[in-house]
Amino acid sequence: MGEVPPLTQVFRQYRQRDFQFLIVYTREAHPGENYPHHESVEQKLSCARKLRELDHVDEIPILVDDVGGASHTAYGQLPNMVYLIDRDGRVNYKSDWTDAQEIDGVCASLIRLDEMKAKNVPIIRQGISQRLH
Amino acid sequence: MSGYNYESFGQCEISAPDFWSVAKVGSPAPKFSLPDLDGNLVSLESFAGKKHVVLEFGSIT
Repeated sequence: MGEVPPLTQVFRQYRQRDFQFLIVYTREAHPGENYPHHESVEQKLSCARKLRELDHVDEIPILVDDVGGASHTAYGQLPNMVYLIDRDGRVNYKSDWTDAQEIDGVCASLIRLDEMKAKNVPIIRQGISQRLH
Repeated sequence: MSGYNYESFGQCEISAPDFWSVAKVGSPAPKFSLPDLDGNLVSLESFAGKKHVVLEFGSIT
């Protein structure tokens, strides 16, 4: 067994706190001999199963996008992007790169916001952050 | 679907949408309903009002 991937560690921290983590398996970013480009749903599903074995991410559900990449495209088609969608279905955070530490931070921030709402604390912070990484 | 599943990285087309101009922060997230590895459909809507969703995208290579 390999070490626990950073995102799985964050997942373990938040799974009991109203967060659902999901991985969407997309096209192969660098297709080659071992992992070729996808030509059928069955082939894509079989590759997604290999991803589970290879990455030891067996705790986070893996979803398989369609062969044409409809969901991947709707979200911007980058190979390692990540989103946090709040329970109202709104994009709370997006990044062109999955950084587990940063996801930890944005999840914690959303929990604080939930706690403020629960206590009817007036929320005056309603801006958008941008960060170079 | 031609172009999306390129055969080698060199064939990767520059036809991708601009990441920052789709699914913007503050906007409704694009809906999806996709099968998990056991074939069960999982939709974004099924978490509405219940859970926040962390959605990571990735492949093997």
